Amino acid sequence: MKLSNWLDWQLVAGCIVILVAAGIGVSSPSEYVVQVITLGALYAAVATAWSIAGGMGGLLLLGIISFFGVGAYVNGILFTKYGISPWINLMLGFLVAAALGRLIAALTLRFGLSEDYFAMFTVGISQVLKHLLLNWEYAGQATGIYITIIQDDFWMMSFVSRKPYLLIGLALLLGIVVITYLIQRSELGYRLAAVRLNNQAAEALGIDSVRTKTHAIVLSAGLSGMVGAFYSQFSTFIDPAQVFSLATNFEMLLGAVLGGRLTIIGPLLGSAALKPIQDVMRGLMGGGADALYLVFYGGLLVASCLLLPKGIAQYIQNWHKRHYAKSAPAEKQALAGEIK
Amino acid sequence: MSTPLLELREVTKRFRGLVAVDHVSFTVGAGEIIGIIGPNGSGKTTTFSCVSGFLVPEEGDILFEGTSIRGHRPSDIALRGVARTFQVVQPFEDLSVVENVVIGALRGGSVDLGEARDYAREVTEFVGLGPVAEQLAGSLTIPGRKRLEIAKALATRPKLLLLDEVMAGLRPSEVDLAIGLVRAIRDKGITVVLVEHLMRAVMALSERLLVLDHGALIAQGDPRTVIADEAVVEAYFGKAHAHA
Repeated sequence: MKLSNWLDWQLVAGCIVILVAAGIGVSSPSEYVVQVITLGALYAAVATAWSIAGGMGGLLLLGIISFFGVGAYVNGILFTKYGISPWINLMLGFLVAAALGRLIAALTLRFGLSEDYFAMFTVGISQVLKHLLLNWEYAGQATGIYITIIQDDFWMMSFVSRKPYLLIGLALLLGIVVITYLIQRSELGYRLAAVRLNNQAAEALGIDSVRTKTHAIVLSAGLSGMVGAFYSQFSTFIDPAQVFSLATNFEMLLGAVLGGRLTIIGPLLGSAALKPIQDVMRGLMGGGADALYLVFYGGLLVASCLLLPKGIAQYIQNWHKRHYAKSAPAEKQALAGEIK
Repeated sequence: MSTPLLELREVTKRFRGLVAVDHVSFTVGAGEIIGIIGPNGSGKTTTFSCVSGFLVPEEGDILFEGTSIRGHRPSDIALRGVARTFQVVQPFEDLSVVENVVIGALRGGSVDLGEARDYAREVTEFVGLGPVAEQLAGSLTIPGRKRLEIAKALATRPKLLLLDEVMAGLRPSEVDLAIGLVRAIRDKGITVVLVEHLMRAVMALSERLLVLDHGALIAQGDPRTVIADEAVVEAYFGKAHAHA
């Protein structure tokens, strides 16, 4: 591990950000602060998971919320109806969401849907799922599912305090950041870069673009499902309108896009910036005029899109390159991470 | 007779009404260097695209090592041992030169990354791109890009290499180097089929020459005999010259 390598640097920086967040959260007496950091971590986790398909794979997997919502319901149902441990449900949430991702990939890629239709298809699926659950009596229909937590029970991921959830949320985020780092360094990272940069050239070199894209979608989907499963346990209440909300969907994606979707640290930083800004604004302008803060928030997003078209991480990467070019000019740079 | 490496049987490809490749049949034996020439629009690149799987011919069959590959995915055909370059070069511009070659060397992911890196380094040196290996592919000059196109294809460890106008846009001295490179590739035991407009290169390299005109194969055989063929002269220069 060398800090002069952009990928390694990002991993270290990501760990530091997560540790700092954990430190602030654990030492804070305010339950509100803990709540904001945990939610921020979950948004960052989904944004990072999304960047596997949406960033590295260059796929317009717009409807990431489908997988998050499915994961949330996997835990919601299995925990309340069968008393299955949420720790197991994290895995099952991964598997069910990954299977949904596999199905979507099969339907869209084999039929050769063009990018824009693929994007719309994935958004459409999220709304189909929402309406299915709104009408599914067993899953509580529009009322949703309530998770009751009476006493601390680690195996059942039940805690009276909010702080253990904060730590689990940050651990999930850390795990997903490490996974993206490993992918960037692996053979899959090369395949994804090839398919994203030039699908035809990739095929000519023996890379099955459908298989590669499927891998990316399944990973993004599964990891988002895992985060969703945790979310239901953390929030103790889920309903279809909430866990398949398009507003949440795009908020998660914005973190990735504003941060820089081709980097490891971008989605993390983007989400880390977005969630608190949103809450501070709501605090300043909230109250009766609940929509006012959204106007400013929207304005801020528009401004950042115009001013930071490649995301925050691009500037960090440029700085990193200059900094280490000075100190070690002959140092070989990161491989698949050298992506603009 | 042993099975040819590549065999085209009555291959026909149409684009709406236009017949781009018209019942073309030929074979390529292992170890040969074969040239394909023909005026613009005669179906040379379309033939390559049919063999490499980017287009599926409406009629006929394509056999590689005796097995039909018609309708197979391009990636599958590449892994069977047919590599191609593109007339309009297709580098992964945001990756370095050697990373571009690594992508080929991965053979679709079946080769370990470390091994692919080592082999990519070797191939990059072999085609003469060693000194610029760490540069971004997008920063290469035209001759460099043509070499990179060859390097990526070679890295897949092909049995058959289809070169689509790799000499176009090169200066005479660069053409000489490129001719040397193609010979070196053949000496590694790789069969080469090249589509080329540059007659000097075609004549220097080809052991056998095929001529396409309006999608049809109008002549094939020894290069010197073929270019003197009346039909070939006519295809290139029109009737007046043929009878002059």
